[in-house]
Amino acid sequence: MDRTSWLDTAVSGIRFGPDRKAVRAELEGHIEDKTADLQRIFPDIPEGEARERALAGMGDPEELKISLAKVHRPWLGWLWTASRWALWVTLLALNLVALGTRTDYDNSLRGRSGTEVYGPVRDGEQAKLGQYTFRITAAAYLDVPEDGVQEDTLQLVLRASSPRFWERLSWDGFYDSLTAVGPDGTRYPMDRQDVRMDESKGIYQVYTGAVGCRWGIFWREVAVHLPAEGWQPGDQVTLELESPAGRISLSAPVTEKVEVP
Amino acid sequence: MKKWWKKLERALERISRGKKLAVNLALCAFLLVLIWSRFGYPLPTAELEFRRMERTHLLPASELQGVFRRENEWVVVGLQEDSVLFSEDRSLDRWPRSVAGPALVPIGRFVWTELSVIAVDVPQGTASARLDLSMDCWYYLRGDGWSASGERGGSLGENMDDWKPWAKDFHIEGEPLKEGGILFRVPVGDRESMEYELLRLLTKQNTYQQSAKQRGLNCHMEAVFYGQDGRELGRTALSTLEE
Repeated sequence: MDRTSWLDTAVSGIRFGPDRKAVRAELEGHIEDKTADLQRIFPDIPEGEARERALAGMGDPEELKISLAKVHRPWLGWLWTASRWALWVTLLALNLVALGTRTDYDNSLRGRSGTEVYGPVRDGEQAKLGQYTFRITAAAYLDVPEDGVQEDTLQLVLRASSPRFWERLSWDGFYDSLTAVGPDGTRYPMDRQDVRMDESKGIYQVYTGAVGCRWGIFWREVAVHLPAEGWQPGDQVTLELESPAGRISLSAPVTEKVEVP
Repeated sequence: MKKWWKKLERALERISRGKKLAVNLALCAFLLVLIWSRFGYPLPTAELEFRRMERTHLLPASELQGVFRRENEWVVVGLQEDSVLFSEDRSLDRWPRSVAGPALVPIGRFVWTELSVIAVDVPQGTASARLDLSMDCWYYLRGDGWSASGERGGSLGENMDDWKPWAKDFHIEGEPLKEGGILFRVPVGDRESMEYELLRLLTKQNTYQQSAKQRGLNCHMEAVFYGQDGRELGRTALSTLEE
């Protein structure tokens, strides 16, 4: 049996093509090594005879075929090839989808609106309502320029997070159920806004009301504004969420005063 | 860059095929989630979308009254304790619920070929229903279009002689929905016509709250519900305010 026929027979039991190629190359390498060893040990032996002896030393190709077939199962190879194709196809699909669609408020994974956030709060108290965990993540007194239009406000930022990233709390879900309670006990429902505006100066200020400000894969935040009149450092502001699903209340002291440009 | 790539290739050679398969599948799953996110995380059915909207609006689960298709969109209607909730075009709207008995809810964020009216909380055993819809208004033609009002002269009470009366009636058979509601489909004719614009007003809640001179038309719709034997089981109405 010549070397080609021997190799073809030995690897014919391996059904997965790339594995069959790789094993064939390895066996061929072994035969070459054996041939070289024989020629080194017996320098007078002709090359043809060295090859034959090397081949004979490799064993019965039919028996090797059965052993190799048992070791090299095709299903893992096919699955791996399919997964490589699937990865490339998915990558291509993502590129096409990214080119063909726009990200907006609702489908972007992370983002921020134009509303700046001040006075970060670390480890604020948390409360759960439904599948969402709520936490105040910022609180500050905003000292705005005296331009005759804007007025100082207190700003608190409320975050709603959920492990179900496909069900981030809707912006209406925030506004319809949220009420801010000022240090003096005045209640400000967040389903409406009081806006101070001067188009000629390019001024737009939410004096009371909530505005979506930042969002991430698992969370969304709204910035809540209420009047700052009579504020003293450390005054507590409370955010109440009331819905048919339940009611929670979170408070934070407003200690930081920030000058806003 | 080439050095980095060679390092990666050598590292990949050392990993078993099974691990490579696992990594590929994990990457595919991640990319599929990115694609899913790009479309706003759509869910396979309208009912699942509706339930998700309830949760993301901090609302409890509604008692479903209807799932139907209109204007190439799915509409899902459910009952909350004090309101009728319905989803259309991936947004949630509410309509007041009747204190006792059935209620009629006009639905149509977009009205192209039909206006839908759904009756909810219908009497038990309802097998069929009929809706009688009467609309009327006063209108006058301006140079650039027309104006309409529920009262002659409109909100300003001017140009009384220029105002003409208009009226139309519809009689619609209801479609019982498997969730329990009854659907009435009011056909829309010419989208350039005054009738089309007036029908769209029926879906606005303030039409039923404003006075005749403030609103665009007067409307009275009444649904009658019948049992299997044709006996009347009940009726309900929705009307603009009477002066």
